[in-house]
Amino acid sequence: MEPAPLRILIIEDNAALRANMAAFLAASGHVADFAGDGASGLRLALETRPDVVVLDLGLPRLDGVEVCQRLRAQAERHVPVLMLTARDALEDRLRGFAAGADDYLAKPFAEAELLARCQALSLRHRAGSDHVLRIGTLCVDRRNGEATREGRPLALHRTCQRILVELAEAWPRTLTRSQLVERLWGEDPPESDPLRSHLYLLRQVLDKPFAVPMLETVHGVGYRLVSDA
Amino acid sequence: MSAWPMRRQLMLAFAIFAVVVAVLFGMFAVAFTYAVEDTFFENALRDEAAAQHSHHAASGQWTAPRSEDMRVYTDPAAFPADLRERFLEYPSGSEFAGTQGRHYHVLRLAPAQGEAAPAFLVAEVHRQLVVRRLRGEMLGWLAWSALAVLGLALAIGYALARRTTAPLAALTARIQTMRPSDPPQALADPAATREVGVLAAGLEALAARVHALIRREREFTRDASHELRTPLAVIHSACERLGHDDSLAEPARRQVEFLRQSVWQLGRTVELLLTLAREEHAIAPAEAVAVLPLVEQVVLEQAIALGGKKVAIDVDVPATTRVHAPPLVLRIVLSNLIGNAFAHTTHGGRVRIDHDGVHLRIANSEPLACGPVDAAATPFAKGSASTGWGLGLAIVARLCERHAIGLDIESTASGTCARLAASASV
Repeated sequence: MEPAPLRILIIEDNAALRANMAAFLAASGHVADFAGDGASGLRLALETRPDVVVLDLGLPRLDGVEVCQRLRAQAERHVPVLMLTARDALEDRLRGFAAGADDYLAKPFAEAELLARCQALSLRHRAGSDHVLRIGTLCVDRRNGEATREGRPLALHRTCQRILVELAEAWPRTLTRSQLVERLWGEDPPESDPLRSHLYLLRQVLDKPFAVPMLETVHGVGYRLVSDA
Repeated sequence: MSAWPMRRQLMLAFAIFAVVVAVLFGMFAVAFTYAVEDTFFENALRDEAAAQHSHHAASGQWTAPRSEDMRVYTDPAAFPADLRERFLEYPSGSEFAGTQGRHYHVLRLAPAQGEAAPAFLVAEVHRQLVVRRLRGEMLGWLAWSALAVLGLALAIGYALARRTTAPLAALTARIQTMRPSDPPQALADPAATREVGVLAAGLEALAARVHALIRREREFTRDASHELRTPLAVIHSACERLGHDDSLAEPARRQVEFLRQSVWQLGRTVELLLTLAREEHAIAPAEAVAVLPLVEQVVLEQAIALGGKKVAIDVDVPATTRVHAPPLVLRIVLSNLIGNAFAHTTHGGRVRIDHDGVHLRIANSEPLACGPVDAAATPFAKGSASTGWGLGLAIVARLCERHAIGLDIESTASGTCARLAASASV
């Protein structure tokens, strides 16, 4: 089963971009609210309790940085904020993070990347409440690495479990080989392509017995999970 | 430019001048003393010579000199041995150094014409050589005096240099604390000399101009970034929407894909131009960057340039390879080279990224379409398959040049290879 649809608040003053994002998010099965200026965006963010706020930096009436600061000061819980902006100078990015933004995406952007970041942000902030990650029919318990697919337990050894947890936590984003190696073995990885054999074993258990493979190699440099639902 | 502060240079100049003057005047003093002593001996010899001439005129004989240190010789062969030897070497001389400390002054006695052979009045004066006895003491005094003068010169030089350079030192200290991002501060000091005042006013004007330039650069890049990226985002988003529209006919879908590729190219060009324009990137410090994670990340980011083509991507970079370069600049350069390789590789082609120990190589299976290799780094030279405006590689080349990253592009019939050489980091 797929994770629940996200409720995403888009605060963006460009009407054409808002309309395109509305169409994209609706097509992806998510619920989107929109605001065209900072003041109404802040009001909606406080009233509607969105899973993620996508916030443009340059807004009329109330600047994006100001909206973020007030949201952090007034909201009862942490609302993940993804800064979406056409300004990408270091100074602007630092201002955004200083105001409490969780992530940053510069325009122009790919819709898939925007959605992937929103999902990653919402997952990150649900981390404390939900120990089981669900991607299609795959369930991964992030505490002990135990996993099931289509309700059948997957017999994975420890390293494969850790790889699966990392990929599930990153889903739907791609993790590069270097990122996986660094997360699994830190600064002291085993010599000679340590991932190859573990990924082979993971595929034998995760994909081979099932009709749809879930572990995908991306352009030879990374790996991601794809939903089978 | 001398690395020495002006104060030290002034003191050194004073010291050298003082030493030269002291040595020169010391030499004059010694020479003068010897000259006085010699004049004394010559006068004594002339007095005695006059007496001898008077006596010879009256008696036809030379007489014994009045001083026991003088003697009259009628033949140089009778001179003391040490004098004879020197005299024969230099018969016209009047002063000769002998052995065992002896010293001779010689004067020719010329009797009336045709009356007798000339004679020689010889004075051995070593007992009267006052200067010789006092020479050590005198040189000592001169040396001490020179040292005292040197010390005095250094003290005066220090005081003068301090007084002269204090306004300059204060100006230097103020300039050292200035940052390009800070508002310009007043540099002129009312107590400074006229020259330093003019210099401070000039620097103040320059600092104000630099500050205004930086402010304009920031405003320009911020506005350019916003005004260009926002419509690009709209077009990009519209292309993606249209791309997902199943009712779109195939020719229209192809046009949308062209549009999407062009927007992607334009986005990269905007990023490159802003990177070149921004001062923060011009002074970005180099640091050790792990190459493999960066290449992998860039491959994922630039995969959009493949546009659905099936291209084999082969990354063969050792995990331990690190290069010394500004991370953001290296990322932008790699994004453009790898993105270009993806965009210009046809369906079924191959892109290989490897490191040969010196160069990071990005090679694809297509020859460069814009002709000669140098043209790739020339503004507005573009390949026939390029959706860009021919600026990309030229800007990348300028960015590499600014940050001392070597870049060369080799194109043959079998493919194109871009080679990056940043210094390896241990």
